[in-house]
Amino acid sequence: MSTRPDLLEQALAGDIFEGEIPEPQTAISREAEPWDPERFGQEQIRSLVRQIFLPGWPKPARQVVFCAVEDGDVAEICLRVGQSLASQIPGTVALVETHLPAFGGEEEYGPTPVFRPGTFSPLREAARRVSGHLWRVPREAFLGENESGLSAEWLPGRLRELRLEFDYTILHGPPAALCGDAALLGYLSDGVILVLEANSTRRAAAQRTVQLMQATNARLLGSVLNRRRFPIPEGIYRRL
Amino acid sequence: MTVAEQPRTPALPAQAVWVFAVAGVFLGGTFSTGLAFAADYLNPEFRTPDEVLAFLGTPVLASLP
Repeated sequence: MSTRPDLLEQALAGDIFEGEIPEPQTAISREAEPWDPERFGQEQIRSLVRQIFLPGWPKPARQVVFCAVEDGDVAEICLRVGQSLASQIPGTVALVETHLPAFGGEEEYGPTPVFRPGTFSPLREAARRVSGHLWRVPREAFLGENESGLSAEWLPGRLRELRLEFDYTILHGPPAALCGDAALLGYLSDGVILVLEANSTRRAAAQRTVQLMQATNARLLGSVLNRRRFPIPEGIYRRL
Repeated sequence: MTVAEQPRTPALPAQAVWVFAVAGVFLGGTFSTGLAFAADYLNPEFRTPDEVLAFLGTPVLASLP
């Protein structure tokens, strides 16, 4: 398993970006290509990954919680961030379900192992490979015997295990405005990223969530605005 | 009783048509613009990264379509 200094050295040397850096585009070629929402989204995700996980941020994070304010499609964003991160680094990345099965079921990644009370199964053994060095840790494996939910008693130890087993961890957290577990996860991990649904998430609820995070000393890294609409016509938008 | 002056049909309206047209455009524009600003101000949801930054004070790391 690679160590953190290894990753930093390779990132700074530029080795890990081989094949990832796109060709520099001229103004002519950019105008010729139509605006592609999918490619725009990929660029946004790649930018997020480089800001949060790779050198450049004041303190690069290794364990980050993604959670919605009230509701929203956080699992898809977690998966895209995980795939982007895994494509940019040689280390292992884990997608962890902390409250609901989110990253597909047995038909996609194979059967989830059965946990027997009183036995300990390393998280790595319970994890299922998604692709390359991207792994998925099912909810059952993360909770183990603690099926009642997240608790400050055992959660620090479990997050420590994840740090030892995987280089980076992306935790799919519960809705922050509806459940205090998100603040607990944010306090114990390297930080929280709030996922806001454009034209859906209420400002008042988001403000209360931010205040809750600050009150619990959870490190709020930033936010993601999902399902954003671009009402300006494509031709005009490209000229802006 | 006798009529002092016979009523006559005016040859032109009291106000010209273009005055009504200009007043209509002005009032309509003012009202609709005000309505748009009010709807925007009262909208309780996020739409752009600038709004998120202004209300929450946290950086928007990505905006996804």
